[in-house]
Amino acid sequence: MVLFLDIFNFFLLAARLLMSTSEGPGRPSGLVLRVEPVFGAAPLVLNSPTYQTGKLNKLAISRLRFYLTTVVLRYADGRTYAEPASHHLIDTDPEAMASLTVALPGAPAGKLRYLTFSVGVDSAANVAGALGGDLDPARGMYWAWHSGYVNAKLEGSAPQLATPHHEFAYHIGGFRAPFNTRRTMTLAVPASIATGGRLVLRADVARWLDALPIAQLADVQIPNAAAMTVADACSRMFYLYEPPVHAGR
Amino acid sequence: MPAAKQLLRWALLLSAWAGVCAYNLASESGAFVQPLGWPAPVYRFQDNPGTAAGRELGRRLFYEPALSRDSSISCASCHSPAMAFTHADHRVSHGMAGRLGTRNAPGLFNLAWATSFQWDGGVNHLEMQPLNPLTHPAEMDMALPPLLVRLNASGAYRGRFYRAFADSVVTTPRLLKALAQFTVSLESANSRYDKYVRHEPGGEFSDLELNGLRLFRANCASCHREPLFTNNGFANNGLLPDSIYNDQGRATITGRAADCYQFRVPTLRNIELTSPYMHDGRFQRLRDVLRHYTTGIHTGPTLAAELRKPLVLNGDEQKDVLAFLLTLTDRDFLTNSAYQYPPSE
Ligand code: HEC
Ligand code: HEC
Repeated sequence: MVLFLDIFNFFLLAARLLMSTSEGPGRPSGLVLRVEPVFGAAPLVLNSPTYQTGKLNKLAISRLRFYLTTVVLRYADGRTYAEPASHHLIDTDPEAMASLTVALPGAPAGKLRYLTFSVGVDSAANVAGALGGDLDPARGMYWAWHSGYVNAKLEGSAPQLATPHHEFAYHIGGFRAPFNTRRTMTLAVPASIATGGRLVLRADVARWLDALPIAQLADVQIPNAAAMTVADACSRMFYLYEPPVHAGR
Repeated sequence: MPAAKQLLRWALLLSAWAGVCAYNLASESGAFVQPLGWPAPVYRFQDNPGTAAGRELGRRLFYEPALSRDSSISCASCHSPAMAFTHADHRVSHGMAGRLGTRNAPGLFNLAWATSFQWDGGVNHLEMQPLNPLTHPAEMDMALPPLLVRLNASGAYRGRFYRAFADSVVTTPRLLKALAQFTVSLESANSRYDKYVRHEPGGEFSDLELNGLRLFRANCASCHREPLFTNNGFANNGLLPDSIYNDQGRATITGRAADCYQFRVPTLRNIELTSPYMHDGRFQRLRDVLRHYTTGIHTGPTLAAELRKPLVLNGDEQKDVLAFLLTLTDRDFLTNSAYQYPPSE
């Protein structure tokens, strides 16, 4: 028994030594992931009837919220960093409690190669009972009658839509096959932004809507086949923003 | 042999510790007890370990009208302890300002063994169930953020949350976990039937009741399975679809035509008290229910296989089944002081 404990202590000591000597590229230096909602090239402004997509013009977006989850960074040298307890409610409403910034203080320094993340809440959290923080059902992204999180919401209106109040609404959720609406994406990190400690993840609503026949598919608010289509379209809106390189370099 | 001695010492320590745990569980009034011979509970107690202070808080909240927007109704308005936590004499529940719901309020007990909640099984966790009545406009009509503000403004509640969670801030998960600590503590396992099964005094069955049990096992137990009197499944038990709500039951959740008019198999414990019966409260008396199963089955495409061939129970046999059903009433449960309206502090 005593011998066993000693061996255990030895391992602890060894682990501590190893950790303290791991200065250098593996040390956490942190990374900030900033989400930037845009419509085409312009920043997304809610309730401004100025956008255009497909056959619709004077389109206004009144709500954009989604869960950004399971953020994983992959480095050029093969290391990976997975954010623990990675659930972030992203909300475009400037008055919302949610933030557009995801801080990853534990991310090591180094040259990034890929960013992987999901839109939507994993099935474990969907069956876990009452949760807090960004997963608090009071945040308005939970279905009470059909237990489960809403992964993403997009709402808006356009005069040409023949729907009540000319509105469309996508509340995309469902975590069970065949209607698991969570989507996981991997984006390559361009070399110019791979070491700056900051990534700008653009969410372009125009790309989301371009992929959909809004007039025929104006209201999707339950887990079904249409929700799968809208979830696919949603996953197309993300890209990593590269600031333009100025002339005279 | 020092190794064996060490082992023995550890074994003794462990068993002493287990003994202390068992003692704590048994001694605390209202703490969860695993009835002999029952399956393991489904509820994950490790995620929300019950404490006396937590259950007490849950009970306060359950009987608290301030959980509704106009402070007029509490959970107990629809789930009355004297009626095994159903809504006495209401076909479908009444909420705030007399607004009507569309379904009959089920009894609340033995919820630790339920794999889903509501008549359509749409709710997957006991802690999430209260979100429905709380936020439903025809029920308590109270959004969570203002409810949290209301509770946080109450010194008494902050004190109770502190005692239950070692932190006085009222949050959604704490509110829901406290309610669940109370509702999961509602256990009914001491009816005359239970005593009969356990061969205990007070568990004597008459010949009629014995025959009723036999007939029940032959005709009903495939769905209303002992000891919980439900198999936690869904079935269409041959009710004519109601014309008012056209409630499609399980299909509203799964979207599958095959699930149309299937409803969760309800427990039959305390059935004597939980009238009216079925998801829409269409039957007032147990006699009506037996008549339904013998001569009233509506044959639709999703009717359960067991009920396609009519159940044959003559008048006397129906009386025997009825007599058996009455042995499922659990007086200890109905009068358990830990479940009643909380005493003033
Ligand atoms: C307006 C009446 C009403 C109020 C108030 C109410 N309930 Fe209910 N409750 C119902 C009805 C009706 C159902 C069944 C709903 C369904 O199947 O769609 C139900 C179902 C339930 C269930 C699921 C039981 C099962 O076996 O599926 C639980 C648990 C529950 N209620 C707890 C509560 C709690 C806790 C509160 C207070 C926060 C509450 N109820 C307030 C009417 C009410
Ligand atoms: C095929 C499965 C099945 C069989 C067999 C079955 N039941 Fe049921 N029972 C159900 C379902 C499902 C419900 C709920 C139906 C609804 O409300 O839509 C129910 C409801 C009831 C209710 C009303 C419970 C309440 O709380 O409202 C009673 C009482 C009842 N059954 C008794 C019996 C008896 C007695 C038998 C045998 C003669 C029997 N059942 C056979 C599935 C079954």
